[in-house]
Parts: sequence; C-alpha cells; structure tokens
Amino acid sequence: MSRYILRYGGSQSMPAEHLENIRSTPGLKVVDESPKMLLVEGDEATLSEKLREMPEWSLHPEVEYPLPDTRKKVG
Amino acid sequence: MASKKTQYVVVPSGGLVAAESNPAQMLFFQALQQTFSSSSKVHSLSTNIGMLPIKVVDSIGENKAKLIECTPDDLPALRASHPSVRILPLVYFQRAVHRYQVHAPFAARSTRAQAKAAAKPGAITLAIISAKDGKPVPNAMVVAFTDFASRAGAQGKTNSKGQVALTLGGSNKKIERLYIYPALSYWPVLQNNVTLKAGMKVPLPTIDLSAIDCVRYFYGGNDSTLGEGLKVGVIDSGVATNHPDLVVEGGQNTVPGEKPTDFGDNGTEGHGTHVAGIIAARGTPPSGIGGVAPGVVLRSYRVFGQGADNASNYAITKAIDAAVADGCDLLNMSLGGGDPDTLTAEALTSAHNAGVVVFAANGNDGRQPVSFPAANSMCQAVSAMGRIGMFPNGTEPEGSVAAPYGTDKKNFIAEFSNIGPETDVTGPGVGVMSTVPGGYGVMSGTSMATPAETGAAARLLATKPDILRMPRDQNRAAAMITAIAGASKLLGFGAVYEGKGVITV
Repeated sequence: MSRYILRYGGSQSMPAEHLENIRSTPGLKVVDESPKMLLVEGDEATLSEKLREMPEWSLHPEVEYPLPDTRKKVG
Repeated sequence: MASKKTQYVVVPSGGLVAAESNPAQMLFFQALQQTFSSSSKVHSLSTNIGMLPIKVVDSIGENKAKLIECTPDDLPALRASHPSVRILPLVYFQRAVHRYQVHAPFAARSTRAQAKAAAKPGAITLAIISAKDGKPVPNAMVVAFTDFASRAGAQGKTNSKGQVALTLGGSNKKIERLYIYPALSYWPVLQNNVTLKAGMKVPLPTIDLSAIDCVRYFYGGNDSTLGEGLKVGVIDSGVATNHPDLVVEGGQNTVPGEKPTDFGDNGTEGHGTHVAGIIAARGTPPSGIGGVAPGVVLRSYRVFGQGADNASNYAITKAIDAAVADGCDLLNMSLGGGDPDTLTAEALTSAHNAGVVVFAANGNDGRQPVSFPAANSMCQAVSAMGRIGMFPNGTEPEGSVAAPYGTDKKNFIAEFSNIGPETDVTGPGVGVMSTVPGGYGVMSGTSMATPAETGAAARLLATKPDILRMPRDQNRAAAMITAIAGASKLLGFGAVYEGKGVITV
C-alpha cells in the first residue's frame, strides 16, 4: 500500500468534516497529520476520487531525500 | 565563455498573479508586459551588477507569468534584484514515471564479520591510532580503494582496539586511495598510492579547536552576540541537545510514528549537530568551538527517523510549516537530491510569503546540476568552496581541492560541489570543525557550506532591525534576500559556481 500526502490549500485551518470524510473512507488510513497536511496510506485512485469533492486539497506522492554525504564508499 | 541564452518562466512568489500588496512585484510584471508589447521585446533590467538584457518571449497576461530568455549566468543577479518572483526552468513533460531515489546506507561491517575476515587469507588488519599519543581510535570508518574509478576495494569500522580487517585478496596490497573517517576528535585522513601490510598503523591528527579552518577564516570572531535577534531553524537529522556548546530553544520531530518532542540527534553520523554548531555553537577554544552566529535562537526540526539516512517530503514539509509557525527567520536545509517535488515547493513558497528565507545545499555529486530543493528559486542555493592551508597536510580535505580557483588562488570550489545557474551564494565547506554528539568532528560538504551562509546571513540581518521589524510577508523575505545579495562578494569563480559570491559580514 502506497503513502500519499494531502495538503490543504485553504486560508483557514483544515475543516474537521474533511478530515472525517477521509478517515471514514474504506481503504484509506490516516498515518499522521499536521495543521495543513495528512499522510495517508491507500490507493491513489480512491484518493483522487475523494479530492474531487474537496478541491482545496492537493495530492502528492511521498518521496524521500538523502542526507548529503561526501564520504567515499566501496561499491 | 558566454553561456547560451535559455528560456525560463517567471511567476510571482505566491500564486500565478502578481500581488497588489507587493508594489515591486507588480511593477516588475507590468514592465515585462510593456516590453512584451514592444517591438524589441528586450527589457533592460537594472541590477546591482549593471543592466541585464532580458527578452520577453511570451506572456499569459498583464500581471501573470512571462516566458523570458536570458543566460544562466544572469540568473543570480535577476533573483537578487527581484526576490519575490520565482524563476522556473522550462520543462517538457514525458509520460510520468515516478521513481524514488534511495541512497544505500553506509555499509559498516560488524566486528564479528571483521573477525571472520581477519581469519581468512587475504584479509589485512590495520590499526588506526592517534598521532598525538598512539592510542587506538575506535569507531572510525576505513575505506580502501584498489580501483577508485570503479569504487572497488573494501571497507570496515575499527573496533575498540582501533583495528579493522579489510578483505583485499592479499596480505600485501597496493591501494589507490585510503580514506579514514573518524567519528570524532580527529581529522579524516586520505592517503594516495599506499601499500597496506598486516599490522600497519595509520596515525590520525587530533582536532585543535584553536586552529583556523575555512569557516573561521571567513567568519572569525568570538562575539557571543553575533546574530542576536534572529531565530534559525535547522531542518536535519536532529541536534544533540546535551552538547555543552549548543543551546537548543526547542523544535519538533516531524517523522511519522516518532515522538514529536524528540528533536535530538537521530543516532547516525551527527550531521544535524554538526550543521547546528556551524551556525550557533557557543563554545570557546581550546575546550569548545564557536559558530558563525552564536547569538541566534536555535531550533531543531528532525526529519530523519531514528537511524535513518532518508527523509520524506512529508516530514520536510511539516518541518518547514512548523518552523514558520514557530517564528523562525531563517531555515537551514542541508539535504536534497532526486526529482523536484511540488509539495516541498509549495511549502517553500509559503515560507517565503511568511517572510522566511531558506538556505539549501547544492548537493555533493561532483559538478552535477543543483539538487532539489536548492534548485527551487524560493531557496538560497549554496555551493561549497574551500581554502588551501585551512586543513592539515595529509588529511581528507586535500582530495576536495579542484579548479576553478578564485582571484585569490588559495580559494577553490570543492571537487564534490554541485553547480549551476540556480546557485545563489557559495560558502566554506571543506574540512569544517564543529560539534558532533559526544564531542567535535570534521566534515566536508555543501551541508557544511550551507549553515556557514545561514549563519553569515543571521550575522548580517542582526544589523538590519528595519528589515526584521517588517510584517512577516513576502516583502520581508525579499528585503532580506536583497540585503544578503548586497553583502555578497564575488571571489572570481564564475556565476554558476558561486552565484553572487560569499556573504561578507
């Protein structure tokens, strides 16, 4: 199961009913949240469908960034 | 040699329409629109290095995005003159194939595995010792390359006796390069073309905190008030809150599933602690060390999980949002790599629009393009430079000396530093002494150059109370960036290597 990030673009804090809407959708699990974002485990198609009802939100894949290192390594 | 004209998209820092609340931004877009309507389509832009010819190729609307043409060398001056606009590369999309880039963790071999290796024919056991008193140096990473170009060889960590067994296929082996990276207290060492033999001892020079390294050369001074009035957030692997030279006001761990209040060091190489020390260490040599701006209020935002070498865009974005909400003025992001990410880009724009300036590391891939997020025009992208004579002979920083050299031939752009037109400033980042969990260590990288410039910006802005008192919006961020650009001094490397140069204070 992939993880995606939902970011709320509205000027106020994220509406509680939006959060509840996402939480109550079968197949979606909220892993973490911040005042503007939700980290959600689930299916991209389900999330995209859900966001059609909530246009203030944007959907992003979770990606990772490495710690820059100048140390040389074998291999 | 003059660089080739390239097309870029210019948009306001927030949204797609110039804001009426930002007169400078509005005027800039209107001037470009007038130019687009003119027959020449060439706008003469006034910058602090003179007039730059900018061709306006297309426009979406009067106060909206413009397609411009200029040389990559012109970008640092353009960004410095108009900090409230984003300058984006023109991108052609193909079918979307998203790949995650994960760096392999530094492969340390267990002591048991080393013991096995030592028992095998072909394994060579080395002893790493202190040059000062001959004591063993435990926990040092030893990397022996038989062929550096193909990265062939063997590596391992020293045990409590300072010994490491390397399986190199012989008891007497010629090594092209031997790197030794101690955890703390000693300088890392590089030996070229050395023949390793069983029982060989390799001495490491001890760190002398009274010595002048490249950061102290450019940003010396021992005034504990430098940077006072600024709040700086370090978005990194955490900061050792129990280090005697560091005072961490607070912060947050934004890694999902970990305790939010655990923003201390994450137990890897002490990267965040080293970065924080370069900015804000409050020690005094010879027992401690001072940072570039010890007077700042320091906050730690940990985005790397416990023992992890990768940070997610979720943790990074949450950290940027939190640091902005906590009232940070400057953010330091010594991290990056991989494809640009719209989520992080949105958070960077939000930070700019909240009056916060973000410094980010160019990356350490050796003259490759500037990494994301540094490449995002809302960041101050920092390349790494060094200075000959600022590290002991025979130490690892010697391997980072490379052309181009500056007007002062002792200065050079580090061999590992990424470069490109997105570079805003350069900073000292070769053989830098700073704090690490449990003591002091030496590291090199754009990761070290970035906090040197964050600290320098803090020192500079502490002398500009009029800017700091401005409402926290994009005009404040723009004023800060303009002040930083105005205080930067070219060192003679060329714009793609140094942007506007090094911040002088």
